[in-house]
Amino acid sequence: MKSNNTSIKEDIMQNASNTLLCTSIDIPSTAEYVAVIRLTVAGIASKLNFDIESIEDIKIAVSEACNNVIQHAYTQKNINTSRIKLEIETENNEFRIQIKDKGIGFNPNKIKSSNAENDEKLGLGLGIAFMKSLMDEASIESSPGNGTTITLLKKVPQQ
Amino acid sequence: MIGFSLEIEEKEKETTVNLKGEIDLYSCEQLDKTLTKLVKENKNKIILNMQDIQYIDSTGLGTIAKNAKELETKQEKLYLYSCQPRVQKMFEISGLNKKNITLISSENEIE
Repeated sequence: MKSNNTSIKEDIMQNASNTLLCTSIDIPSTAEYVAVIRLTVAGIASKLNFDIESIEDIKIAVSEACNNVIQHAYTQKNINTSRIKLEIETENNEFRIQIKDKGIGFNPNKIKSSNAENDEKLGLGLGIAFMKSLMDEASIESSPGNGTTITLLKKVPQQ
Repeated sequence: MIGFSLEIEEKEKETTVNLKGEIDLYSCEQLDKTLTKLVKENKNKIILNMQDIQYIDSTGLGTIAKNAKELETKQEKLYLYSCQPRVQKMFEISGLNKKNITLISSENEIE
């Protein structure tokens, strides 16, 4: 029993040492704040030694996730209390950004990622296509009535 | 703050819109208003000078694509002059560079 407890403790400590950075930002869900967010995230990414090209990729992906919240998550009724929460951390050599809202949510299976070549409706799904092609991973967790969490991942460059 | 600004330069046969800064959800509304007006007038060839644009996302691309599509109905094209490699990359990923949007690096390329 005793040795089991110790090993759990060591696991936690190990995880803690792998978490280099963890911060959260809470902003109103309005377009003028997106530039502030991408500059902040770019600053953190540059501290982590990402190259300029990767930093630009991250800036666009984060902006697309915020755009998605601003354009779709909140209805006129709750517009005054609408917020976007970003959680930013590095763990196990991955830079992870989560973009969360408490809006109306949707069924992610009904949204298709697309580009203009295969979709005549311009712009539809383009933001999602950008997140997926510019990051190592991009996933959407949502259901109607339960808000949305978008998770973006990019491998941290090894020094 | 980087922000966004635009300035219209009317020439005899062309109208150049000189853009500066970042085209995102916030600034694309201003760009859309200007472009919609120019497309409606349909007086000259429309050239967007992209030289000083450092950032564009799907909302900016969507705004440009929407106006290019409207121009297509008037048998015209929308020209984007001197896109930075970064901006060009976004057009390529989106596939919009094949949609009545012509990326040019010299005014001689205007048809």
